[in-house]
Amino acid sequence: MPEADVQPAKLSAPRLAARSLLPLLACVGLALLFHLVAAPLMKPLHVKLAMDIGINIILAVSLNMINGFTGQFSIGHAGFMAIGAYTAGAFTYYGGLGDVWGDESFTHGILSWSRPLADFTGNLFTAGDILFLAACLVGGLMAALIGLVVGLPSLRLRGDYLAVVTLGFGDIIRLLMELSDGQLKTVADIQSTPYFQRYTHLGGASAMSGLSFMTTTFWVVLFACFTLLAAFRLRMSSHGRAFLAIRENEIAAESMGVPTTRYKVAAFVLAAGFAGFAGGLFAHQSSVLNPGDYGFIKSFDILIMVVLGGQGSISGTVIAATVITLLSEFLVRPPHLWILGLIVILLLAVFRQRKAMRAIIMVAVATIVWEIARALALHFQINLAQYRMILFALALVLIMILRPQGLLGIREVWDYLPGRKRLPTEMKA
Amino acid sequence: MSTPLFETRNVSIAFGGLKAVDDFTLTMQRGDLQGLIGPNGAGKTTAFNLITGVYQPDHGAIQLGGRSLLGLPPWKIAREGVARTFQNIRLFPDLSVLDNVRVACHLRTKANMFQMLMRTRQYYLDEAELSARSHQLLEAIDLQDRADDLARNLPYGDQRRLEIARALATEPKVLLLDEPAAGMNPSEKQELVILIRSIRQRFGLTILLIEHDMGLVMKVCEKIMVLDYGKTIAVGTPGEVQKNPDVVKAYLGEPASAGP
Amino acid sequence: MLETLIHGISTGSLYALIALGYTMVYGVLQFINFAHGDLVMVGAWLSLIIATSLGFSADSGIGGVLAAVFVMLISMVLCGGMGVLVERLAYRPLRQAPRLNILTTAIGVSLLIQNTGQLPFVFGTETGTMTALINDSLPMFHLGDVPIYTLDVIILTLAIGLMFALDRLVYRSKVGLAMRGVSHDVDTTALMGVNVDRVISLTFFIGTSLAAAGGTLYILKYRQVQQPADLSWIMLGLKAFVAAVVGGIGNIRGAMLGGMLIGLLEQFTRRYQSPELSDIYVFALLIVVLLAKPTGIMGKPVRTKV
Repeated sequence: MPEADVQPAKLSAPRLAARSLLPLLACVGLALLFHLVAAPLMKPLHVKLAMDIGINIILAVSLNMINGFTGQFSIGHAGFMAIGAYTAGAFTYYGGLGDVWGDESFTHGILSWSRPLADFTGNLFTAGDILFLAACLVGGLMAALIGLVVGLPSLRLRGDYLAVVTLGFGDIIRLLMELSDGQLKTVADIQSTPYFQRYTHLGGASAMSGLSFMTTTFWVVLFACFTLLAAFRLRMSSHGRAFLAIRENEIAAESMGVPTTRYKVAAFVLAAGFAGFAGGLFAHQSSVLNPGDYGFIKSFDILIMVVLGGQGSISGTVIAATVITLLSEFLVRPPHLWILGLIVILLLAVFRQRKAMRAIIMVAVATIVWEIARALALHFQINLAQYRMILFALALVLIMILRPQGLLGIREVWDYLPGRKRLPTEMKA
Repeated sequence: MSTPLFETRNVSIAFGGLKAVDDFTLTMQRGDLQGLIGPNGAGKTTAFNLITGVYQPDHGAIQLGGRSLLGLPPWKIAREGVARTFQNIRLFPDLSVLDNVRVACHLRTKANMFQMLMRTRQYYLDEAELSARSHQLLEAIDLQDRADDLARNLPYGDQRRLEIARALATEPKVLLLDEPAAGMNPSEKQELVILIRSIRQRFGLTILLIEHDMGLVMKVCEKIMVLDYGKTIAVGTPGEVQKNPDVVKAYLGEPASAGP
Repeated sequence: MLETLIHGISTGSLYALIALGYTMVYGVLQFINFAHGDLVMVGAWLSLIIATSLGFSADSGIGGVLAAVFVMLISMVLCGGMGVLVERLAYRPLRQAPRLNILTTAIGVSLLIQNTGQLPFVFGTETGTMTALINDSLPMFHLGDVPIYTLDVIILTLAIGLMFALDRLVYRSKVGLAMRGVSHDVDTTALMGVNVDRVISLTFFIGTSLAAAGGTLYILKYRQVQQPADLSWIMLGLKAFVAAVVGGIGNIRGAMLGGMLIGLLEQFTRRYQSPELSDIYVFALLIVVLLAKPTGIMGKPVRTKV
């Protein structure tokens, strides 16, 4: 991205403001477009999938900041998601937005309205929207704060120890949520409990239900775009290079003036914050807070998205998050995929390199294997979904052995386009 | 005599029971080009690690321009103005040649993370300045044609020069070079001598150099300090040091026919 | 109080056996084998299947003990073989790769084992129950007024016996010397003529078979085992791992010490506070140790060469 080649002398204040803020407005525009135009035209299942993809993108891109940019090893990321989800969920539920409070049609603005638009009767933007946004924000901040508390001591530790601490952390959060008191189910109960005490009533192991369905494609697309924007701006900057230097050679980076521990903690806190926010979105999509949703399986899902995409590649992570989310869904109800395979092959043909040739062959093989598997599964009544974890775990092992840099390594998709200066060699790991 | 720019006094460190560096005392005026030599294991790189904060000394003082460097982590010492290269090359292998240098420019930038995220004017000013400076440094070591190549793909001699350029990017007052000529052929070593002299002048540096190539050391350095088993056994001009019997003994051992 | 102590030592020796596996692998390959805990699960389930299919049943005499030992040995050998296989296929190709890669792979292997174990034609998703091999209705003897059961005594004896055998192997045999050499400096040891690959395979074999032993003893004692992907296995593995770290990872005697400590900690907090809190305490201990002395109680600090 040619951003840094801008001559400062040519930067007047209005141009600066435009460069800084226009991308933000573009995110809002894209989100509005999706929510008001595209989503109503899609089947509800597809809309849910799109939201799942968006939330997973936020989660995976945030994990990439830790694992990819600074080269640390965090495998408890779902713990931060849980903190955000529970904080945001409790915030809205006890704050006036849950089913328990009654009629919800006055609490949703159009941006949070997930049913057909024609049925919409309320105001454009309501107090409910504000509460929801605030809840997610508080969730993100809470997660970031915990990230600071966990990260500050742990990021001084070596790779495998940090992995164990984050693994333990993810589990501790889940355990704590399971130990929490039962949900307060009537308005009277809620109002008789002092404000801060309400937050210990998080449903325990039997989950907390009745949250408002506030998450819509608008919010997901908006915040996924914001996350991507932040990630790109971080990566394509001096700070981003400093992060990468820590990953490449920590001792050298520190000797060149990079405050390594501080930056590792910063990446950790930032990532935790984004994950927490995503947790808030997730909680209001399913309207249930279930501790089991945020266990190691979720952390592993996010991890494999980052590894598959390429640790350090933002566009790679986006592609991988999409693929993994879709694949998880496809395994439950296997659809025909040869059309998709064809489209991907055509897209790859744009790149016109020998590597693209190899990729095309792999996609073709994968499509054929898929169609065969689908036919067999239907014929023999096999439920492919029970093989999901096996497939993903095997994929992780194979990727690490055969192609540790994942899809794109440390580069972005556009680095491989023809016309771009050719990369000297294929990057290993 | 003006106060020295850089000095260490009685710096010592022991690992386990072994004293790796013992009573290391060094004085450098601005613009000095000094050599640090000694057999393998003498403690030369350990001395560098002590100066740059990788290890903390058990005793002694280290001062730059009158300010103590003791207890500071390596990144703060770099900001104070001490830069180094490494005995075993430590480049950022998957970053480009240009980016390797640009990373080292980071410590002099002024934009904080928020300004970076919002792309304010300070951010663009910083980026333009550090890119320009990085290109200049690459030109100084004649690597500007390979700016976009991955550092891991550079030939060995180029990698060593890149490390020097990277260290220079931190705008140091004192530059520590750890065996910069290791693995170089004679013509590359010639160019290195010219390079060292030119960067000293151009950037007003004070340079401390560890080297095993005696010819290079004698040619380039004005003053030489010799270490053996952690202790300083000689200090002086190249001529003095060459004739010093302790130095000869340390490198070559006792003559076979010594003794009655 | 005495009863809790007995339970603590009993559980502690289980953890110690499993922790030994972690520590041995860490010693030679410098990485934490996340898949280790899952091999405990495999060991336990294999024992269950072997005992059931061979038709063993409760016996209060020596027959029961022999049956238990027999089942345990078979399980140990099979799991040891699995460990060697895993090393050969998944970890050996990554010996030169950055550390993070092998850690990621270990996680993949761990989940692979868990989820493959869940398949209906492997161990399935139901809880398994094992027939008692040792008739335990009457206590063997009494210590004060606390009954000491045969089973606990046998478990303790077997565990300690295995630990002694391992200690002798590592510290007093030529093979053990080779293992210690590899854990200090792979390249130099290779230069000394040691077949490093074989030493590493042996280390995995021993470590994994000890995990299987731990699993077998677990199922002998508790008789019910959860399905392969159940949280309890992960917790078991994690606690054994904490034991290895607390004792000093890479240090065999440290692993034994750590195992005992964790066992005691767990049982005492379980008895006097609550079961869930005991899990949190174990994790908290891990974090405290990592922050205060990452190399553990018996570990030595390591410096990287700059």
